[in-house]
Amino acid sequence: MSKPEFIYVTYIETTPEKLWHALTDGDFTARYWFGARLRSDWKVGSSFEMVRSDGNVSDAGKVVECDPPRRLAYTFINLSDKYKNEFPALATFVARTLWQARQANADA
Amino acid sequence: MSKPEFTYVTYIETTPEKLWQALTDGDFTERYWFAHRAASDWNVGSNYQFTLDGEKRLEGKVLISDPPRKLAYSWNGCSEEVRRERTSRVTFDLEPRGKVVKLTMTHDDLDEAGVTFRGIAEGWPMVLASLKSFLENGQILDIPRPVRAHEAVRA
Repeated sequence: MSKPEFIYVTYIETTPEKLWHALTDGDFTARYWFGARLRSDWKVGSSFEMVRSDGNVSDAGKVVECDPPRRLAYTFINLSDKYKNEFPALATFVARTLWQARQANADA
Repeated sequence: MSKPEFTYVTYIETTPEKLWQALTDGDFTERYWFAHRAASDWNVGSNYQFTLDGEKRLEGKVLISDPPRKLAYSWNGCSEEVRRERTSRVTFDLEPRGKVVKLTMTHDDLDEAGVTFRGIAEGWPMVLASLKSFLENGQILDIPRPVRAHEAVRA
């Protein structure tokens, strides 16, 4: 894991399957991701694109991990000139159910 | 601002006034804050405390009280394992953004190697996710209350 990193944890009343769908289905992301539609077949090594509501591809990368409905990771970089000297970032999503959270607490 | 610090930002569909009440009114905190009940007059310099089942769990002084925009208090855990740790500080900034409120919670002045730091890093996302659900849907999240090792041993 390279620095810097930003981690955000939240708890959502849903199922891992629905959450996975919301993270990977363009129709869903367009609803909550300010109009951005994600496009990929979500296979490891496949390309990944973020398409804005005007049809322009704003960000692109590759799928690094895909283990539905638990773990998803992809690289991405904004394609505008402003970011041309930057390295792609890596985003990783990990979903845990409350049952697993209970188990983890019990094991601690 | 001193290190280490823990910052959590969330956007809640509510008003700053309702959010302020949810942060300061014991009847509200008891709902979403895993049964912890807040008590204070929330004037600067006043004491406050959080109790769980009538037992004091957390106490400190009100440092900033500017309703409904900014609230800060010192933070002293009452359990045996954290009693010797330094007093930390919690600050809530409430910033209206259209129909939602941007809530920024900063917990700083923490002991880097302390139990408090580990505990609050686990606890704040649960409490604030539950608070968001409570204000937006009237329902708290059914998250199992965090079980810490020493509590499991005692129980």
